[in-house]
Amino acid sequence: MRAGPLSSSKVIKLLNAHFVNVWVLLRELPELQDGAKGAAAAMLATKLQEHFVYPVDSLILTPALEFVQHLPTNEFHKSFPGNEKKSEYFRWLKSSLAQVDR
Amino acid sequence: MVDFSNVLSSTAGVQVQAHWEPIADATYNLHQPTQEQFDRLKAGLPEPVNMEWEQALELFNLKPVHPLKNYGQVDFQVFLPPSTANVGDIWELDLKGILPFLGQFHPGATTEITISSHRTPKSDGARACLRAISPNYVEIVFRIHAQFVLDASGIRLLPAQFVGRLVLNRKEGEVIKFSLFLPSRNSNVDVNVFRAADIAFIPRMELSTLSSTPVRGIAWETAITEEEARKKLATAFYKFAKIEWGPIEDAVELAKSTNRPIHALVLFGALADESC
Repeated sequence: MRAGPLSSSKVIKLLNAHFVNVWVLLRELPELQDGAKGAAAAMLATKLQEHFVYPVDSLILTPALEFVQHLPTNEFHKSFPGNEKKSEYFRWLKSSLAQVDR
Repeated sequence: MVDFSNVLSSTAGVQVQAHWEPIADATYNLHQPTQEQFDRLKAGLPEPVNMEWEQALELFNLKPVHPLKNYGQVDFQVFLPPSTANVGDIWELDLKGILPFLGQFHPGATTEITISSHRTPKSDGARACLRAISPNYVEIVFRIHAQFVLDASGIRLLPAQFVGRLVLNRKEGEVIKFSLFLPSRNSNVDVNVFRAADIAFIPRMELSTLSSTPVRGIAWETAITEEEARKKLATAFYKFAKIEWGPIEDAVELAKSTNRPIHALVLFGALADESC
């Protein structure tokens, strides 16, 4: 992911302009859910855990923590050849924004 | 601007101590396989490997090969820029020159990373950044990506990254502080046993000078923060580091105040270094 879609200038620009970006280790989700970093992080971690697909997943949530959609990486890699991944991730982010705005 | 030619002119030696604590936590405990697990992994290899289970366990009895080592000032030249540099400048380090430092941990140290399963291309190497200068001192921070081959049959450790700091006394022409360490956060090393991979945690893996010269009180004339320097180094290794990643504890409040959705990546290994 970091060598592909997340290194695309278009994707980086879109993420920085329109999203709040976080990454979290799967193994840290339980302690986050237990409140290790506060109540808001606990609620976010719970939502992520609820929808996460192993081993790597990109998830979009509204500011009110409603789940919008996700893109499990293994599935994503199987579905799109290398040269299409960047544009497909960009399209997926745009569709997420459209769903949030609805 | 600082001219780094002949900056390390002192002939005084530098003693560097090494600490390496055992793996404290892992997802699959590949560093302590059961005999059955080891035999299964070995049987899955295309070529036979002449290694017994007990030998594999011994390979993970990790400790520095040189708990204390003497260096010359000139050995630290490898961390300096080729000529002049300004605060915030980044340069690449000569990989051959940094190997003796990594070799203080283990003779299998190499900057040629062969674990490919989760790697980003072109993230090999080592880079440094001039963080601060004063009339008498300079501080350089650096980042190294390296691997340890515990056995050529395919038993390897890939630390997330090594970060380090070098403080020089320009007047005396000598190193007053040197440290190189694996950041102590959970999931900071990738363990490979034959074709299987694991993510583990090493609480402490560190080189540091024995010198007790205090460096906290230095009045820097020009400086960037350590965080800024680390960010510059990360961006030099990975383009994705240009994404503004924030801490999870701030995400919800920031999303509400900016009315932006949250884009979250949940991963098995850390995104921002080589353990992923």
